[in-house]
Amino acid sequence: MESHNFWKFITGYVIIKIQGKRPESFLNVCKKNDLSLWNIMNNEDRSVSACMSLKSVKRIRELARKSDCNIKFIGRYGLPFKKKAIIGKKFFIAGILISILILIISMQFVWQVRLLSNKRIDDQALLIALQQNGVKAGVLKSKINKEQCETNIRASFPELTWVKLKVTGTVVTLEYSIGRTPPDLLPDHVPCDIVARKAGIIESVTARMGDIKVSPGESVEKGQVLISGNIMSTIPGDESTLLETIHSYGNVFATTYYQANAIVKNLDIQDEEAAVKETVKELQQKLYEEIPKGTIIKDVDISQYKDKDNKMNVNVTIKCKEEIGVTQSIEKIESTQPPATDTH
Amino acid sequence: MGKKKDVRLGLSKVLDIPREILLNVPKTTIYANSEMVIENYSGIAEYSGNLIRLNTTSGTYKISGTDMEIIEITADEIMIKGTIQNIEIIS
Repeated sequence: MESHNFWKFITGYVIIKIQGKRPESFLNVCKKNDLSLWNIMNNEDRSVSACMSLKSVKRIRELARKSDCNIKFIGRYGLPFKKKAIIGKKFFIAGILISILILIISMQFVWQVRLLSNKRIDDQALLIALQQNGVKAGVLKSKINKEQCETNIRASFPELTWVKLKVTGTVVTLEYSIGRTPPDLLPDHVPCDIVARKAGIIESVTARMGDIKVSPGESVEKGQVLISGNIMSTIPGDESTLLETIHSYGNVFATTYYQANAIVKNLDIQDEEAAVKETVKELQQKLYEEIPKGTIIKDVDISQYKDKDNKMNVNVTIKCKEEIGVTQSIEKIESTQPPATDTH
Repeated sequence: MGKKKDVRLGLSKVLDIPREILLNVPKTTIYANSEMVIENYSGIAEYSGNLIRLNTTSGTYKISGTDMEIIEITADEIMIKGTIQNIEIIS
């Protein structure tokens, strides 16, 4: 019953006094008519007082006649009776209206600018760029030209691949993501070698143009020429003569290793395993960021050992298969003499 | 009528439906000796500070005690508060 009190106050109720030979009959009539009463109290003079909701009061005359009882109102409570008193308080009403107005007005402005991305670039520069495009705290929301702003920011930050300006409530969020920059490709007419970008063990070499310098199974260093654009003479005794320089290209796949190790931090005796795991996770994350896209990960090897200072170290090695060839321009020579025979 | 009631009683037993819904029999809940809720009562016969008599489909409930008052009545429920000393069912 207590939980209904607030609702009862909102809807309003009256206290009635039931007088007559049999007050019980009024209660029964109420029950039959689906009306509820509460706080029914016995008075000393055999009359009964009860509370009744304002809604059912309309039918009270009919009920009283049916039950042959006299009904007296002895009190009234609730919001409907206080309407007049509340309306009389001008400043109270004005205060409510003004606060609603302030709320509505303040909702029209930007209160905060947030940045959200997969990788961070200079936040300050982005914020300044946003400011130049009219997005900053305190600006009217309706004045923001989202598409224009997105286009401008995309144009001024070439490393951004995707930009989205979102207005949610009073917060403007700039979502952006940074893609991988495409590799610098040499134009087709520039002669070049293909060299190793990373040390590794060659798995396969396919040259569409150029001279293959390595064979599968060979280990190569970083910067080693894999496919040469310098075409040498194949005539015996004349091998050192440079015939021509071409733009070589081909695919070189190699097994490469990415490795990192670190000292385990926060090493507790109790929770050694968890500490090691965390460090391994950090290392792995770091390595995965390093590994270029399109790489096949073949094996992940985790080992731990103690170093000289008796500190726990973890070592993570990731074995990959990837393409390691990158172009490197070489000095161009004019072919001094046309090749005497087909060199290939 | 009796036959109909039997069918309903069987139905409520088979389908596990509470009896007070199908059969309209009174159901009484007593909290210690201070509070009492009776569902499916049919009317109040007498109401005073130390005696309340209620009509139900299965006889008259005579509740005596001290300082008793009815907290709420709705179409199918009555709630009594006070010190209940004696409950008598006259059928």
